[in-house]
Amino acid sequence: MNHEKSITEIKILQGNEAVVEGALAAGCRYFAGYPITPATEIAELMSERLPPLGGVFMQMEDEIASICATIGAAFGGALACTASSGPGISLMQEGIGYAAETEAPIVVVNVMRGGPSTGMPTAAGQQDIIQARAGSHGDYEIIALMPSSSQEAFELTYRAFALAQHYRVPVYVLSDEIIGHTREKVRIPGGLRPIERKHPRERENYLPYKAGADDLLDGMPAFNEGYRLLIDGQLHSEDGNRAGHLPDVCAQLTERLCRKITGHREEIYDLETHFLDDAERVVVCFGSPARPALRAVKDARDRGVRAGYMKIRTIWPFPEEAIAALAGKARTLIVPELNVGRVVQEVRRVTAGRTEVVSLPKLGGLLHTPDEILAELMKRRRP
Amino acid sequence: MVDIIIDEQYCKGCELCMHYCPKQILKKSGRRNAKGYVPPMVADPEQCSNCRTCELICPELAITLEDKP
Amino acid sequence: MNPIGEKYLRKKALPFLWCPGCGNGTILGATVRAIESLGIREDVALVGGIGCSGWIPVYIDADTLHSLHGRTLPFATGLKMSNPKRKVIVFTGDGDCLGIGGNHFIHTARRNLDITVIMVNNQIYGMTGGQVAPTTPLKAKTKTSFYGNPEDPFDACELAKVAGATYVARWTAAHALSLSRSIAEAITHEGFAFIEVIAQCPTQAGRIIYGTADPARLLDTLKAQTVSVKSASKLDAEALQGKWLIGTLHHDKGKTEFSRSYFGMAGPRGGKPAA
Repeated sequence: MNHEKSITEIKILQGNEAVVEGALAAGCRYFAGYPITPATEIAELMSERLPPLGGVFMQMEDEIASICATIGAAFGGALACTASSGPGISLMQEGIGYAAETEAPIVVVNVMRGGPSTGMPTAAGQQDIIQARAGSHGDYEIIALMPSSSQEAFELTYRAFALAQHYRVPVYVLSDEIIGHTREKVRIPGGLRPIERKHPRERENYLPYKAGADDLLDGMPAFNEGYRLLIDGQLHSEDGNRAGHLPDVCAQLTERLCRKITGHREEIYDLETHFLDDAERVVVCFGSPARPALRAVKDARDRGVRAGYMKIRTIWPFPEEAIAALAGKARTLIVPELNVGRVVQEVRRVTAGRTEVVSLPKLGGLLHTPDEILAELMKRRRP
Repeated sequence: MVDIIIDEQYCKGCELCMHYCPKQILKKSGRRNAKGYVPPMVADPEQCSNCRTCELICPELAITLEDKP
Repeated sequence: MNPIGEKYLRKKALPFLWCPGCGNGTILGATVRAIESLGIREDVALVGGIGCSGWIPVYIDADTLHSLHGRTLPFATGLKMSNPKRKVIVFTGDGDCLGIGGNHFIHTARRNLDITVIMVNNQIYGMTGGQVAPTTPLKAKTKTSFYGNPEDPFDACELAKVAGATYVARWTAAHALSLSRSIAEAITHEGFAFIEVIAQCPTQAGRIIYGTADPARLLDTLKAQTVSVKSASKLDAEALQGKWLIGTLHHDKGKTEFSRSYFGMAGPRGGKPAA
């Protein structure tokens, strides 16, 4: 897109296309991927759009190669991204752990489909939310954003690149088949600036893994800029050398990798709320079920129910404080999700029995209808 | 003429240098370094043909051939 | 420490974790001499795999990515394609490259991506303690081929060639000077350059397959299984049975390299990568 323009452009895009527009606006110039339903359109459009920008699109031999090439490009100096779904995302998990450990800023788009295994390739699911947080071995934290429209697919992908660079962490965009394939209006604001990678302030005595008081690293140099970097998937000291023989150093690094995300969660949170002031029954939603949920909340209010709406756009780190605050006000929290009921467990954990929490799972590749959510909102408080 | 300089602290006593020296002028020194390995010594420096085989094969980069003025 | 070591090694990473007499240190020496001879220290991007040989670049004070088991080549691909001017050198073992990383190996060779791959072949999984590898000789007993290896080994150089590599060479750790020159030639070659180095692993392959833990004896045994490319032309198939050909086995300067082909074909910038 043309950054000179300051006029908002309006396009009709499916979510997968909006992801590409968001990535390119952010300055993504490297994409490595492998075809998989329902994410393939992202690779197809990248293959058309990146080369004229001087960027690189590569169809790799598999998803393992895709994630590793993406990480390689990130250390090579590019804003880099990959996209896949179910089985492909599973194959990428070792690479995502490597990116978390080496603090590689990459964006991974998961257009979620029904699982497990080959599952339901052409139908939506939200069964990979737990995987996104903890799919690779070992302790680490990532950031995951969940769009519920083409507009959000654009905006959250753009933000994903900014977050990845700032926190030096893999950032997921957890889209799904419904968002990926729904074609709707997207406003692309003019004058959007590409995300810039911060260079280290220090050069002379630069230590690639020396964190500040905020647990974040001092920018990120690329290879061949004279820093002679040592990047290693082994737990390492501040200079990059392995520290397997130094238990304290290893423990501190693991803790910092988690704390640099959880400790900044209030800066990362992004919630959209409606009608919370007087709400007694609140739908806590994310991704595609947030669409019927808003309709249901409005319908319930039309019928006199004090219904409220909280859409979580940043599912990881989990917005603990905001949900806990709801528990003090609302009598019931309803959590619609396209899985057996996963995020509802997090909601129960942070509300700690202080309010009723109702799980509204939906499987089989279908989306909740507004009426299904409305029916729950209309129910009386359970004994 | 060259000097064969052996940095004993890095030597792991593998003896590849001794074995592949075409003139067989390197011998076991009999001393142990701090790690407990026995480094080689130059038994007959006059015979060195400056082929650098020992320097190139040493896996610890512990051998230097230096031209003597 | 000799001057080239003083100049090129990360002092804090020392000592090398390799066993006495391991071939990896010799290969490291040959590599830094090649880098020195070309004067390209600040242009190299080094990638190591998992296994003993993957540690070679960790000790070299340049830009180094110590990657995942089997995945050196995709990481190298990202590094190379994000700036085709950099010289990417990959250090991988036979298990890393041909076992877990076999698919990446044939595809990166097929693309003829301009990187240099140094595959250290010790015929065994050394770091994990001596298990059967895709290069272990037929019938050889290892920790996981208790009754003898029922599988034939790969010929890595033949595989590289048929997959599309445009520079293929093989040496042993006893050919330190030729190896260093070959590494320089491979770095200079524009295309996928593959060098297999037959290296002695006294601790695992030596003890378990060859019955000797003596580095020199083991290296001599390995060297005795080689035939130079020149002498091979005078030998019949029977005499060449089970031998490794040593030297430059393939050098094709005619095939277009991947990044050149990619940037030449794609986009109005006429082949120029992003700044």
